Amino acid sequence: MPSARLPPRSGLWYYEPVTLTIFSLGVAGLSMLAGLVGALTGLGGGVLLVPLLTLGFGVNVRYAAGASLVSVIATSSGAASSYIRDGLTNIRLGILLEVATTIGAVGGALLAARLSTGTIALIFGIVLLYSALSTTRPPRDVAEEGYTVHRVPLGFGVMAIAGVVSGLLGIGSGALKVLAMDRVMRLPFKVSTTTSNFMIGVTAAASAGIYLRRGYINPVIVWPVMLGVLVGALLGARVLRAAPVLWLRRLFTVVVVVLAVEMIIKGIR
Amino acid sequence: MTSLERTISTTLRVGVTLAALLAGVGGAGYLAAHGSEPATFGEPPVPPHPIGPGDGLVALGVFVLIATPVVRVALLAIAFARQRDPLYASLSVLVLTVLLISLV
Repeated sequence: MPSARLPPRSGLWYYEPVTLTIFSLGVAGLSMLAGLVGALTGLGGGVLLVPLLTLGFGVNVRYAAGASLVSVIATSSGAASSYIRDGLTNIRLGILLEVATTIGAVGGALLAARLSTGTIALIFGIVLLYSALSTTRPPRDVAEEGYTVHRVPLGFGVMAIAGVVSGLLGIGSGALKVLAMDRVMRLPFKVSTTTSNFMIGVTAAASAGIYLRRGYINPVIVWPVMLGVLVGALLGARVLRAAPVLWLRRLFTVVVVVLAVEMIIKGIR
Repeated sequence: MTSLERTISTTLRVGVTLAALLAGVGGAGYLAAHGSEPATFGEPPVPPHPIGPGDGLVALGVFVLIATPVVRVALLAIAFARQRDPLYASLSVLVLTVLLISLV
């Protein structure tokens, strides 16, 4: 039976086994960073958390995805509770598209068990790269009152893919959801982002059961991740309201691209 | 804001807060008992760490958190049924079914 111990030098900063206390505090700190940057760039916490945990701490990508999935439910539900009060969330459209994302997510979670960790890392890198570049596109200008929803079947299809990606990688795949709503169905940008966020928790919950049964949602790693990402996301929302953060977003986009390339290299090796 | 939106907003907020509290208390308890042991997270499915005081609370927190969006979908199903909106009531029930099948 292979040892559960980390091979030395499997992470960037992690060279020998540390105690659980140091590990948990380190994971909480890194998760906070992921939540903060995720909120500032609009990427969400999960898509940054998994590479930070796997590259930084040498955590196996499946455990990282399991912990990320839980944190994604926490941040999206927390954010949705505020967004829904603004009345921009299109609840009916959300429910319709959740049919696609939940079925996709179950498929993605089942697929995750069949693929090697290298393949998962590679797909992750590509999705991360796409997500980072998608944030540099300027949002289209559509009035938030009296809009019409275009190309619903195509949007439904893209949402199913977003669900598969979410279940496979343990992320919210908000970038793909926004692609489906903003670009394909031509919804106003704020409606796209709030409705996407509304759906993310349900999508993640659909694959969480499968991760749970496989033992990839480990309480020991989940708790610092969940709390760290939540605190980071709350801080990020504060900063967003307080300051013009365009240069900050650009800086982080560069960081995310570097992370994506690292994941792709890790996947190919 | 409709009363439905208010109910959903409150449900989500309560679920996330409760889950975070359980995770925080449980995690602190776990570290108090096992904090000085080495951390190992390399190769699943080897159970990486001893079961200890607190990880039951964290698991309960995870359960509450996963249940939160499920309850949200159930609330919508009831609301659409009350509004006599059979299409969206059945879509909600369909999503709820997928969730329950994957979770149970």
